[in-house]
Amino acid sequence: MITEKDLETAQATFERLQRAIEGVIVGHEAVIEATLIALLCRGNLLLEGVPGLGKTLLVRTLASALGLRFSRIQFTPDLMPADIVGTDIITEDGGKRQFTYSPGPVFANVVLADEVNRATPKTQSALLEAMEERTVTVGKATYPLEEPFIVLATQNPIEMEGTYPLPEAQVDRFLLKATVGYPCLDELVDIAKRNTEGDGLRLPEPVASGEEILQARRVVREVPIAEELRRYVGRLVLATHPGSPHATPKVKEFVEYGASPRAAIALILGAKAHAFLAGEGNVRRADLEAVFHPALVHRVILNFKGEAEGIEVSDLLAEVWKETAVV
Amino acid sequence: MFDLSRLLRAIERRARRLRGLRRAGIAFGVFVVVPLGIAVCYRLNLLSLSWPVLGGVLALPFLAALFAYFLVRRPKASLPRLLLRVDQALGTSERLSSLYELRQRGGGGVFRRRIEKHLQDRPLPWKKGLPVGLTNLIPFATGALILVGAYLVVAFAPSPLADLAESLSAEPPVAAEKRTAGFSPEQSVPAPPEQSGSPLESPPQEAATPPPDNFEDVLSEIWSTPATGGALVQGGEDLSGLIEEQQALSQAIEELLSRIQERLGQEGGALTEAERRALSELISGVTSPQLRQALESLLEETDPEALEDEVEQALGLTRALARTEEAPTPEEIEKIHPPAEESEGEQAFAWTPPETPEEMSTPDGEGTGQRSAGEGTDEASADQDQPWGREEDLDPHGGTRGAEGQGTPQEEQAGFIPTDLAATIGSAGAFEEFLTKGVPVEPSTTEAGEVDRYAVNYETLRAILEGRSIPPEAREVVRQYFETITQGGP
Repeated sequence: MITEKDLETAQATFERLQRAIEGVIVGHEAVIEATLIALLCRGNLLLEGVPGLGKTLLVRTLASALGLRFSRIQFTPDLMPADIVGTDIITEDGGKRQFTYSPGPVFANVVLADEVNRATPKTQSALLEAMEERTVTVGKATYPLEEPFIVLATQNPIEMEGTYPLPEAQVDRFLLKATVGYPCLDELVDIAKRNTEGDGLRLPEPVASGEEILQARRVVREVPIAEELRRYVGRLVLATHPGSPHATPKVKEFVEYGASPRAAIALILGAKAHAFLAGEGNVRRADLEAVFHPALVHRVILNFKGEAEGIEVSDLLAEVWKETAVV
Repeated sequence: MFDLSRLLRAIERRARRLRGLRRAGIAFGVFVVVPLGIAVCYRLNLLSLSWPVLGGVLALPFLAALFAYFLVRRPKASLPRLLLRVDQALGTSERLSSLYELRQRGGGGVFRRRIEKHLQDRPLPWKKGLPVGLTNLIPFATGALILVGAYLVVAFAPSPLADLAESLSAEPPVAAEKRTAGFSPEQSVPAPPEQSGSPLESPPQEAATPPPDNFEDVLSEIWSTPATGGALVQGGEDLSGLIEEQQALSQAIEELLSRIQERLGQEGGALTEAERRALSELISGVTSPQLRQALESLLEETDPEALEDEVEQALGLTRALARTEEAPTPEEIEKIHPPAEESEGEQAFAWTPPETPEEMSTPDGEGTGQRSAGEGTDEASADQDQPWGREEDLDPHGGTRGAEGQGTPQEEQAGFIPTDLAATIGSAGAFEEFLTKGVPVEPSTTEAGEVDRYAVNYETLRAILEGRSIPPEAREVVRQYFETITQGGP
């Protein structure tokens, strides 16, 4: 049972965390918020943006502020699954040789899968189990990952040559997808100032522990959401399916596959986390609206016609949100 | 502390009221058809109802609406849905809905307190979310007003039949002078003498029955007669089909007889076997006993000279019969109403139903209205086999009218017979009245010998009905019509 103290502590923890991150990262409030929501929901985050916008810095800042183990995996075409999850190596102990498991970089609390679409699908798939089940299986042995665990993957949307787009199954395992855009002029000036004066950029000191994160996660799951809002979420998700009676005309015309049930889970959990971060005692429609796009944008697959005509999933989702009635 | 239970009860009551109003509206909409339908039927004289009954029918949709509002069992409203509606209306960030959710699952103490604190701190005009008031009642009241208005319009507006009667009676002056004399309410009507016998003879009349004073009443009286009203519709349909058949048959007989006449004129001799066979086949469809008899005697005739006469006679009879089954031709209409005297609009009302027998038997008009005084009565009995009778049978004045010459030659030629009666139309004063030739109506005299009314000539009527092959089920209607416009027999 959640007490008033638990709630206040959790909210205070994340306020500190947010401030710590914002002390390093200029702008990108939505991306920071998405990162915190993913952390609160026990989810993973896909960050998309061109190089140099601070994606990696954001992840490093988060790890630093949490005081948790951080590992960065630079995905390249020749990266092997064993390079991620680890492998059995022969060790000698008292003259006796034996296979000993050597954990890979995935054994951390905060994992940065940098440019995840540069590795082959086989290597990308090595993350699937870790992301969903929070375990790693090597040979016959399965090793649990330490909580809190979060994978933050980045991908570059412009350099598509030599890349391997993430398979749908893996994309679906990311709770949210955040697009990192260019900073505005003031933000750019601020970034330049922070990086060119004094000691340069300094990562924050830890402001939250792993245990506090886990406690906050428990609190978030208790945030109430009205039954009718849950039904509303269901209608929203179904409205992205071309065969559904809830689908909008554009969805019927341009969508091949709609969002999976994971989208509904992501939407509700994300809305709860958003309400928690906003200091609210319940999920509001505004919370759903805030996470609707990042929770669904990577889960809707356009058909050939949609691709050919350059339809943006974001536009389709905006129409779905507009057309779907709450009651 | 925020009292959710009380709010829920109030919302539930409000929702029931709303639902009741909605159902009342539906019931009203459904049952509103009944009084409107009844009013329309009443207006078209398909129903005979008293005004209290009509008023009671008007109340039916209102009673149905009340029944739906109060008595129909209403399912429980969906509270989560209602609460979300209230949340949306009040902008309470779905707190009411969430509070209800927490209450239902029995937990969330921390969040519950937070939500209640939020709700306590602000006024909660929750009724905005479920408005029951003038806005809900306006459509209902508008519908009721429309109903009452439509009901009154339908109930009191002149019926289409009345319009028809008015348009028929509003003839132009020339046509009005020439029209068949109608029954004037101002005229005193002596009770007709009682008669008995066949249906075509004058039945006993009830002296106390007030005379119908307009065409609409006459029609409604005929329609309301159980023995004939229902059969009239079906009879009318059958009649048009029968007439078409008879026209085709007459045409076939006429063509055959023409060919026979032509051949006999060139070659002479008797009927060939093929002609006999063709004639025999056609005779089976002939309904006119006179024509049938003429054709049968034609078949039996062996004398070549007599045969030619028989053919000519049968041909003339066939043509005459065919003409009785046709509408008047434009030439005939023109003959009755010369274009120089009437406008186009007047011609629209210029149709005169039956021609005189002479006109029918002699299409060139020879002898129309030109009979001498002695011819009619002497030859009437000899010509009784003719399908329409002779003019003397149809014209109560026999040939004397033509001799007396009371009507102008043009009027007589047009098929009207002047009478001794004078009609009064509105404030325009008295008008000389005319009878259409060929109708089974004649002026009637009182015991004092004064001519003051019209009566049905049943002999003429029977001759017309039989001669024109009118179906038996329609004969009674025709008889009633003439009785109604004349107040019976002599």
